[in-house]
This record gives sequence, structure tokens and C-alpha cells, in this order.
Amino acid sequence: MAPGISEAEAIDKAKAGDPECFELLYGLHKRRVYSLCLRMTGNTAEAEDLTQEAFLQLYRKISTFRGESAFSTWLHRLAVNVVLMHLRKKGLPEVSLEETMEPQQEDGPKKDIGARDNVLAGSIDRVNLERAIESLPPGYRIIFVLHDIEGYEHNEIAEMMGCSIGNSKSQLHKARMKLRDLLKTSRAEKALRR
Amino acid sequence: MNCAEFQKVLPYIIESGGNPEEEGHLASCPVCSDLVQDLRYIAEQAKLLLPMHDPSPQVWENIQGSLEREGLVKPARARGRLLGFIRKGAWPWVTAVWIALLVCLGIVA
Repeated sequence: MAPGISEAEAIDKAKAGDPECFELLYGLHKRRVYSLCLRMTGNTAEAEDLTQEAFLQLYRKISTFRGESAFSTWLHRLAVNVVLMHLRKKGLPEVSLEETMEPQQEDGPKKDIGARDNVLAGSIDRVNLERAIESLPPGYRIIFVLHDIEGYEHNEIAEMMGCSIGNSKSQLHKARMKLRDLLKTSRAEKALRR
Repeated sequence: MNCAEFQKVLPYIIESGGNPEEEGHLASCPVCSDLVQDLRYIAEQAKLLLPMHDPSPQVWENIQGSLEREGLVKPARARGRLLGFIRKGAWPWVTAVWIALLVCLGIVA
């Protein structure tokens, strides 16, 4: 931030059309917006295009920002809407209802020998988790990013995605189950390489 | 309640908690307990993921270009020339005015 100017002042000036203050706001928020776009799309070129679009929309709409929420929250929601609009135009990926968890035995626990040794706690690092998230099918990835990374609640996701709260919970669960499988596989492969 | 029944409702109770039968199964079943522990751990680790990447400088250039084409901002080069003129041209005049003021006030002999 330039000395002597707060974010609130930069927002007011940007609302009045000050391009340098708008550039300041871009500098402050570009990383979070871009990371969101990248995680939701899994593609750097698309993420850059969407980041650009999000900030262009910001410039056009900043005069409507009333301060009822934090600016970062407002901008973040704008960016999410830009990404979702883009994905809808592409044909928002629907996760097949057939793509469910692995079938469980009807009675009794899974017969995993030494199951307690296989818990993930303490064995995930950021790089592996990011890679696993990138590998998720797009439909699962979107819900996981919105809920577990970006902190949206199921009712908010349901409204954004045009689905039910139950559907949001179900998709999130499938995403986490898929991540669990990916992370366990990655851990097992790492152990074999040693 | 068996594992299949528990895991069927798990998506809907993992955050809010289940009824006594569901919680009872969770407390007594190591497989389901491990599963829930893993899923919660993944969610916790995800919350810690910080934005790590910046977009390329081209993104800002594209934004500037678009805003200029739409007439929403003056071209950066024109803004720069104006600011440069002010910075270069005004400074000697400002200095001269200050000196004149100080002389008038008798601060400088």
C-alpha cells in the first residue's frame, strides 16, 4: 500500500475513477482472485482470462460497493460468479450419479487389516494436497474449492450452483472421498520409492 | 447400524453431528472412525491452503488495455506525460515561489 493511503481510501478513490488507486486494489487482491480462478478451473490460461474479467467487472461495478460486507468478500463473490458463469457457458460439469463411492459391504466393517495405521493425519503436505485437488473431476473440484478452501456454506453454494443443499453436501463428500483415495495412493507410491 | 448405513448418511452429518445411533456407531467402529478422521483432516488442511500464485504481468496490461479501449481511463502514456510535466515543470516554479515568500517574510535576508 502506498504510504498514507488506506485500502478504504483507495476504494473511495477508485470509485471516483482514480486509475492508480484501482491499480493499487488490483495489486492487493490479484493473488487471491487468481488462485481462486486457478483452483476452480485447473487451467492457468483460463484462470488468467477470468482474473482479467473479474477485475474489469470490478472496475465497472465498484461504484455499487456499499461497504455492507468487507471489500475482499464482495470482490471474492464477484470473482466466483465470473468463474461460474464461464463454466456454465462451457457446460458446467455435472458429476455422474453413477460415479459414487466404492461399494461397501452390506454388513460389518471393511476388512482393512491395520486400518488404524492408514489414517492420513500428519501425512499430507500442501504440495500433495494441491496436486490431488487439481486431479479431482471438475464438478467435485468446484464444490470442494468453494466449501473447504474458500469457506462458503452449503446454502450459499446451493444458491450459486443452482442445486439443493443436500446435493452440495453429497458432492463435497464425494470430493473428499476422492481426495482421500488420491492422497493414500500418493503416500503408498512414495513409500514404495524409498 | 452397520457401516454401509452409516456411510450413506455421513455426508449429511459429518459437520453437524448425527443422532445417537449414528454417533454410537462412529464411537464403536474403527473403520468409520478412521474414515471420518481422514475426511475432517482433509477439510482442515484445505482451509490452510493459502493463495500462492500471482497472475502474469500480462493480465494487468490486458486490463489496462481494455479500460482504455472502453474509454474508462486515459491511456497510461498520456497520464504519465501529464504527471511527468507536473513533476519536471512545476518544481522550479514551486521553489521560486517559496523563496519569494520567505524573502517577503524577512526570514531570508
